[in-house]
Formats: sequence, C-alpha cells, structure tokens
Amino acid sequence: MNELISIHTAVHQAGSGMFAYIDPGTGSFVFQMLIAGALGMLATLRRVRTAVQTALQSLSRRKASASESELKISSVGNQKS
Amino acid sequence: MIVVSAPERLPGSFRDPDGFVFRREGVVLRQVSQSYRREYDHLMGSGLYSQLVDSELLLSHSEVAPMSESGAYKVLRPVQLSFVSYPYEWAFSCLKQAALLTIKVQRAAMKHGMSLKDASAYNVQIHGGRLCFIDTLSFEFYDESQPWRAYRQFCQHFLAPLALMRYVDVNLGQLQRLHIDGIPLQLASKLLPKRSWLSPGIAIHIHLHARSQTHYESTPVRINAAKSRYERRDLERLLDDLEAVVSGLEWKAGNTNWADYYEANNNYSSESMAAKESALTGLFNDLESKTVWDFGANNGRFSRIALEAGARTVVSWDMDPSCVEANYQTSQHRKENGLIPLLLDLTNPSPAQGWAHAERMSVLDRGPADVVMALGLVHHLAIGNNLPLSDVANFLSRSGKRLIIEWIPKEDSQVQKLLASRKDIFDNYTPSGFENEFAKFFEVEAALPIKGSSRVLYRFRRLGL
Repeated sequence: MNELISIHTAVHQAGSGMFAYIDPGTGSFVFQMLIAGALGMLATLRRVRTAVQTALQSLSRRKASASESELKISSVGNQKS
Repeated sequence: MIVVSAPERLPGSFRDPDGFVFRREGVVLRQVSQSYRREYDHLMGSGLYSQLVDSELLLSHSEVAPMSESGAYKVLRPVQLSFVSYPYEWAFSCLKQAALLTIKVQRAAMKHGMSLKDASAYNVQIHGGRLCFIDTLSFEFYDESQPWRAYRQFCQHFLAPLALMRYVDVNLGQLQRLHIDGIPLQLASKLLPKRSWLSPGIAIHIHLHARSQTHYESTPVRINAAKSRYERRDLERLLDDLEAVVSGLEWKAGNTNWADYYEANNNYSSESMAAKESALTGLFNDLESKTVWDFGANNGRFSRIALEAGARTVVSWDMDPSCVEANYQTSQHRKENGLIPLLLDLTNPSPAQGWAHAERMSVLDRGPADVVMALGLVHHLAIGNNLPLSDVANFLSRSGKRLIIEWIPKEDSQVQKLLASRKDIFDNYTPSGFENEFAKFFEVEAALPIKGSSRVLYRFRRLGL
C-alpha cells in the first residue's frame, strides 16, 4: 500500500510541470516503479544463471582436459609397450 | 553578432521548446533557446559532451554567431550529415544498434548528472559508416528519484518494432512508417505471438507495459502525501534489462529470391559480370560524384564500385530486407565510411509524412543525388509493375542529375521470366522505345554494350544541367 501511495505521489510530482515536452505516459511511469523490484530479481537470476553456466563450462573444460591427458598417458603407455 | 533574416525552422523540428533545427545558406544549424541555457552549459561543461563525441556516440558541433533578436542562447553548427535516413528504412541490425546506442548515451548522461528526455529512433542517424546520436538538446538534468521519462518512447521506437520483426515478420518494421511516434505497445502486444511471453523481457516491457498503459489511461492517479523513492539503481537495472532484451533479439536473413542473386540466380557469366563491373567503373571515372543513389542495389556489389570510384556517399537502396541486412552487415564489417544500405520499395517509396506532410521527407525531398544507378531494374519497373518507360525516366530524372542505367532487352532471360505467365502488352519496351522515352528527360553521355550479354549500360545527363 505504501508503495502505491509513493507511486501516486511520484506521478503527481511528475505531472506538475516536469513533463512539458514528451509525455512519458502515466502507465509507463507507474509501470517502471512497479517493475523495479522484479527487475532486481531478474538481474539476480541472470547473475546466478551466468555463474552456474560459467561453473559448468569450466567443469566440462576441466573434464575434457583431464580425459585428454589420460588419453595422452595411455597412448604414451601403448607406444612404450 | 550578425544581422540576417529570421531562421526558417525545418518542418520536422517543432516538438522541442528548447530549440529547433533550421537551414541557413544551405547549412543545417541548431538553435538553442534561452530556456535550455543551464542544461546546455552543463552538457558542455560537465565533460559529457566531450565524452560522447570522443567515443563517437554523438555528432559534434561548433558554436556560431546567433542572429540578433532570435532569442537564441546559442546557435550550433553540427557536422553536416551526408544523408538523412529514417528507422523504417533501416536494416534490422541497424535499428538494433541504434537502440543499444541510445542506452549507451543514457548511461553516459547519467554519469554526468543528465538523462535523455526522449528516446526517439529519429535521434539516431547513419554517418561516416557508423550510427551516431544527433540531438544535442535531448539531455535534461537527472533527478534520481524519478523513473526514465523516455522509457515509453524507447519501447515504442525500438523494442516493439524489433520484437515484431523478430517474432512475426521482418516486414512489420514498416509499421514505423504508419506510426511516426513509434508502434503503440497495445498494438505490438496484440500482434506478437503467445510464445513471446516466454521471453521475460518482452513479457515485461511490451505485454505488461501495454496493459499498464491501458489501465492508467482510464484510472485517475490521485495525489497522496507520502515519500516516494525511485532510485538510481532502479533505472540502471531497467537499462541493463532493456540492453539484455535488445541484444537477445536476433533476426537471420532468410533465403529470398534476391538474397543469392549474384551468386546463383542471375544470367551473367563471370566474364560478363566482370565486363559490367569494368564498364561501370569506366562510367564513374570522369565524374565527381558526392552522392550516389543505387536503386535496386541488392547486396551492394555495384554500390561499392561507385564508392571505390570516389563517391563520398552511396545510398544503397533495395526492397528486400534480407539484402539490406546483408549489405548493412558487410558495410559494418568492412567499416565502410560512405555506404548507407537502406530499405526501399521503389514502386511505393518512402513518402513525405507526419504533420503537414513535412515532418519526414520523401525520397525525392532528400535529393537530387549527383548520380543515380539503376542496374538490373528497368524491366522490373516497366514489365513487373506495368510502368510506362516515360514514367520511369521521369522519376529517375527527378532523383538524380545523372543516371547510370542498364537496358535489359526483351529477349533477356530475366525479362522472359517476367513475361512467362502473362501477356506481352509492352510494345514500347524496345531499345528505340527506351532511348526515345529517356531522351525526353536526359541526354546520352555514353552507351556501353556489356560483353557477353545483350544488355547495355547507359550514362545519361539530365536535360538543362
């Protein structure tokens, strides 16, 4: 409720002479306030997703390089035998 | 201070009370009103202007003497644009880059205590092979407690057309021609498919945003005394999100009849193609052409010959969005300074429109070019579109001072393709018919048969030049 009151206030302030040139549209103005929290959460989710992706990528790289070195060792072993 | 007649404002420059654009002795100037004094001084003094210009985001300007009694605080002489283009003529990637540029400019402005008061796609132009922001008066003081006033305009001018082009059809970019202040979000939301809701960015900034607009259109917002805080980080997040959404919108140019024309779908042998290129180079050799318009440019192959021959600006027009996209990407990749690839259906060219038919210029209003090229085009206009040759000649004579045009005779396989499923009603479509009709508007300067083909390249000069 407090949030809604705050929005009303801000819209009123915005309407009092601030927007003489381009009308931002009340709906767009209020909407930015309403989605501020959601965008924060989305940003956090994106960060988490990126971190997970990076971790997975580095894990798969590590695995790939480990199996590559195993392959090398075994091929060296084969050559020796 | 010099005294001259009052400046004549350009018709499209009426929205901003803080100044306007006008032309004096052929030079485009921008008047800054007294009402914008503080903002202009801050823009210049805070380091924002130099940062934007140094990073090639903003068109630079110099200050010139204002006219007496004009009420001007300053008069600016911006670097002159070689050609003005509009968002409905841009490739998908071009509109996308313009959106990202606008966000970059807004971020830079916020660092210097300013913010964009509008986010119009018309504030961006293609200049010197790159996009740049051109409206010096778009900056206002940044109030950190307020949301971004240009948010709606950004979504209407950039996000909505890009999403419609990506999710529905690339040709929906033409809706920008119909809606001069951007595509209404309610309309975009209606046209977008349900699967677009799966993109959180599109769901928020178009679908829910549109619903919010509809809701508050009919819901009075009352005054309430309480604290209100929209914070800087909220706007930063909004910009991050808009940037992520725009960056994620991709459109892959598909295979159209025209996209592979030069590679697989034409009747030129490699020898006759080389002969055509060499003949074209020869026709440009003794010309000093600042501006060339290449109508039906496809992927810009021949536009680049004009550029190499010394043209400063080549506007490379084509009606196929795939070709324009390919042409634009090539020009960006090669960092070509003078090439401007644009979308244009010559049978329905960009009109003069907006308030009093004068806010946005028609194609002809933006000419005449020094040279117009019309290669592989005349049969599409005359036979594909039933245009009498005299009408074709008339339009081309109004487009440019000189014309390089390729005559394609009726026996050519491309013409035969056009005639395959229709009656041949084109008795005047003959070499002499062509020469006679064009002689009403032009005099012949050269006529070069293209080796290995039955086609002829003509160079005409407009009568009375």
